[in-house]
Amino acid sequence: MSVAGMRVIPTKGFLLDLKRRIEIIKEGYRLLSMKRDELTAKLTSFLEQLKATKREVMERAEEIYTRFRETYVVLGPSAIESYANMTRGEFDANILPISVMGIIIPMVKVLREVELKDRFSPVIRERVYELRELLQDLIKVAELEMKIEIIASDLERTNRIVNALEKIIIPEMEQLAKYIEERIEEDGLEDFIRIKLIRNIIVKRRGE
Amino acid sequence: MSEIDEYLIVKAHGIMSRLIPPQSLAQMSFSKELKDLVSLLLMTDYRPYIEKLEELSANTLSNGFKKVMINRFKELINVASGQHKKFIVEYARIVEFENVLKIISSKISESMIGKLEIAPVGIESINYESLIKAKELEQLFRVLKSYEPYNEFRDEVINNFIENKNLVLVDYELHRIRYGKLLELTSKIEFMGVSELRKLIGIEIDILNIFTVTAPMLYSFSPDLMKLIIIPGGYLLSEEKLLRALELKRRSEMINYLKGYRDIIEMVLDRQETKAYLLAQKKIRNYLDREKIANYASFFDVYMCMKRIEYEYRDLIQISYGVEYNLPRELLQRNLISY
Repeated sequence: MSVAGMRVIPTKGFLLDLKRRIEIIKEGYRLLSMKRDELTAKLTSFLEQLKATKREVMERAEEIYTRFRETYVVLGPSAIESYANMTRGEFDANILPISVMGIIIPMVKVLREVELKDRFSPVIRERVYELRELLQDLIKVAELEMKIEIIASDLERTNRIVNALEKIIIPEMEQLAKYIEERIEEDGLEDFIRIKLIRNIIVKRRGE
Repeated sequence: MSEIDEYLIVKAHGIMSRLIPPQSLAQMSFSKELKDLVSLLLMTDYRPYIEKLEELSANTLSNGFKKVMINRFKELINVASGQHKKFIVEYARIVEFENVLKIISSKISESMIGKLEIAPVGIESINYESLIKAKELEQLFRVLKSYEPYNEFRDEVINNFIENKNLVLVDYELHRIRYGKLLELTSKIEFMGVSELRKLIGIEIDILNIFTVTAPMLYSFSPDLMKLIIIPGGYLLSEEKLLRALELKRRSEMINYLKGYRDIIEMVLDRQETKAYLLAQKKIRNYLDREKIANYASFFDVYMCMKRIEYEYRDLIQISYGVEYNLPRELLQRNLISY
């Protein structure tokens, strides 16, 4: 009888140590279960958020792109591209790590927005403002998707550990503890019988 | 009008007879793909420029469209003389100005200019290479100002641009120079319909200015900057009136104040600038059509010819990119200037 990675010695000391370990593992299992439940709740909430946001953003993106393409084809590529050139390298963002249940998830912090005020031909200004808003929405969607991906991957790992603890490690260790207890009890009984036998022999010898 | 300029009018009529009829343009806007558009264009002046394209795209097609437009302008320039010739040359600077704007914007963004992107017009007074080679903006504007008509670039605009890198300034300064030149030349040309021509140019200026003066109210653009880009010489909207309009804060005030362009202003205030721009272009085209009989066989015909060449070019660009981007065909047809 053994548990992976553990050398089993059927002694009382080992049993006490094993029981202590089982208690710690059970506590860990309890905490991990709580983490799993919390991550599931977070994931569900983020998924709902993403579903709503994504649908809204995609609908808006479709409208904005259609209007932009319309403006692009009406004014011609030359006029639009000259202005588009001017915004190159103006946008800057930082990805900050934030912790949710010990998991590092990204939060996008826009450091520098593309400067629009006064800078675009009055004929194309509305399209440019719309595209900037769309960019902000797309960043929100990308941030949510990234959060979901990271949480889902951690949830999968946590779930695997919880399942392994629940279905394999804890039952095996409890079985091992039971086995050791039985071994110790058996050994004790053997000792008792052996002592009784020896005592009987000694009593016999004294009586002779 | 001299004999050669009478020939100019005949030439203009000749070119107009070769333009694609509005119905055909409308038909082209329903092309399923670019191949269909090309097959329809093979029966027109565009054939030599589009039949053997290595890569078929809206970009390569638009280069062909540009060449045909330039060639048509050149045909007019070649038979014109004196002030008429100068007028056509100034009108044809649209492409040249687009190129100058492209060079300046790429200088700011430090991007490379591909050979395809700059289409020399062949009638320009400017050497693009000298602009591209300029290392700094100051040097670029020094070179630019050494050419006609760019010597009319105002120093305050150049200084402001170098400081703020705001392309609107250069864009509108180029418009100001072009319209200023056109108006100046109309005063030097004697012909029947000159007042209608001045009126048309004035309306074009008014429309650009409407977009400018509504910017502070709609988008909090700086009124000081907008003052700098107002183009003088409008038909209904004087410079003083436009300067006062920059201070207006309410939609109703703006509509009542800028009388004469109510429908366009309402669209601009509804933030439908593209539709307003198209409506304006269609109004100008309608005005041209209305005036053509009264001013038949005059220089007005030449102006009308140039306008229609430009509209055809813009419509074809619209169709080719619209087909490439798969825009709804009804929308494409509705947006055609010539239709």
